[in-house]
Amino acid sequence: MKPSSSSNIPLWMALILTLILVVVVRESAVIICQWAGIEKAANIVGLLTMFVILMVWRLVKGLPSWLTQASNTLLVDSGFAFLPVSAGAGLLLFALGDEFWGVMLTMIISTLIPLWGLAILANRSLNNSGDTDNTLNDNMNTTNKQKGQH
Amino acid sequence: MSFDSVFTATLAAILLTLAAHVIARVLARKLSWLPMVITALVLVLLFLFILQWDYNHYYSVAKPVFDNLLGYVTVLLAVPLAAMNFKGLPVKKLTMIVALASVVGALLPMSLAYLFSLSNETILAFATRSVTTPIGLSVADLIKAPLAMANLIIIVSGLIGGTLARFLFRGIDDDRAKGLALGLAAHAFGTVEAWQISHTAGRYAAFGLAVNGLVTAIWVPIFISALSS
Repeated sequence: MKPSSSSNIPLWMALILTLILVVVVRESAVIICQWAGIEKAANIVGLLTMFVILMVWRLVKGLPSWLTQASNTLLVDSGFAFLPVSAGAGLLLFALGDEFWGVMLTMIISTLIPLWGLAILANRSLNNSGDTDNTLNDNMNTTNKQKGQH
Repeated sequence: MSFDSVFTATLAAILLTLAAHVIARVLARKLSWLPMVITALVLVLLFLFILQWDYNHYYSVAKPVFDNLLGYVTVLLAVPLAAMNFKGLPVKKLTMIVALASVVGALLPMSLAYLFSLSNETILAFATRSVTTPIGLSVADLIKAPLAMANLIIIVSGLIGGTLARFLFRGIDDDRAKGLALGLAAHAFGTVEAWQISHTAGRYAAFGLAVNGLVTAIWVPIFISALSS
């Protein structure tokens, strides 16, 4: 299985091609899910469909490096999509009434303990592995050079 | 604040959000200790306050556009998942970590909510705590949990994880471990934070988020329906 294959296309074109691919897959998933009466599952279906397409692509030809470069660039700014809804969640929290402290404590404990525990567990497991991840690291270095990031 | 048309209001909402995001991004580059997501969120609320723009109106005009963006981000997460290079990685251990994260991510908050005597609806909503918003809302819909509460839980717990991660990670030296933990426990906000740590952390976070979302979306509805029958 080839994780990625090299290609020389400019980042702006890689971004456009990746966006077209994502929009087409997601909108197709929306149409199919509306037809099947499971509108709310459209994003999960889109994610699964995209994953299957990419795995077939990876098995047959190897994923092009421009795709991983473009997704790295786009995902750095993915927080933008969550801003309006997260601003509202902050406001909603204070309308919880009697359940406020119970909900807050549950959220804090059930987030921080697994986060800390999983980080330690993953640190031990991954430190013992000889992963070099060269192909993707090469791609990332190219992206970083193009973006002037560290 | 009033607008002539829905189009103008939507455009204003996008520009306001974009301004908050760009300023937060610039600030996060200059002040590395500043959590970008929180800064952007505070800036959105600050701009709304300055402009005297009611949040509910802002959200109602922004929602159609940002719901689509949320969907595109979810689909985009398939790229790092498919591009993941497992060569040399302890796949069995990683599988165990993902399985553990998915089970603990749903059962721990539900148990705590039960211990704190929260309502049944809130306990159900906590089943979605560890998955990303688009997947979590689909799961909440399937298990008949209140969507607003599920949304609130996912977002606030993601914010808590994304904000406090850097303090918890003091003894962790591997960016892959930081990223994976952030993606598994703090989903999208954790992943955004992981991309600020490094691209390696970001890719592992995206992998953790996507795998955890998929696994949880499969077993939680089955588990809840088995419990209620």
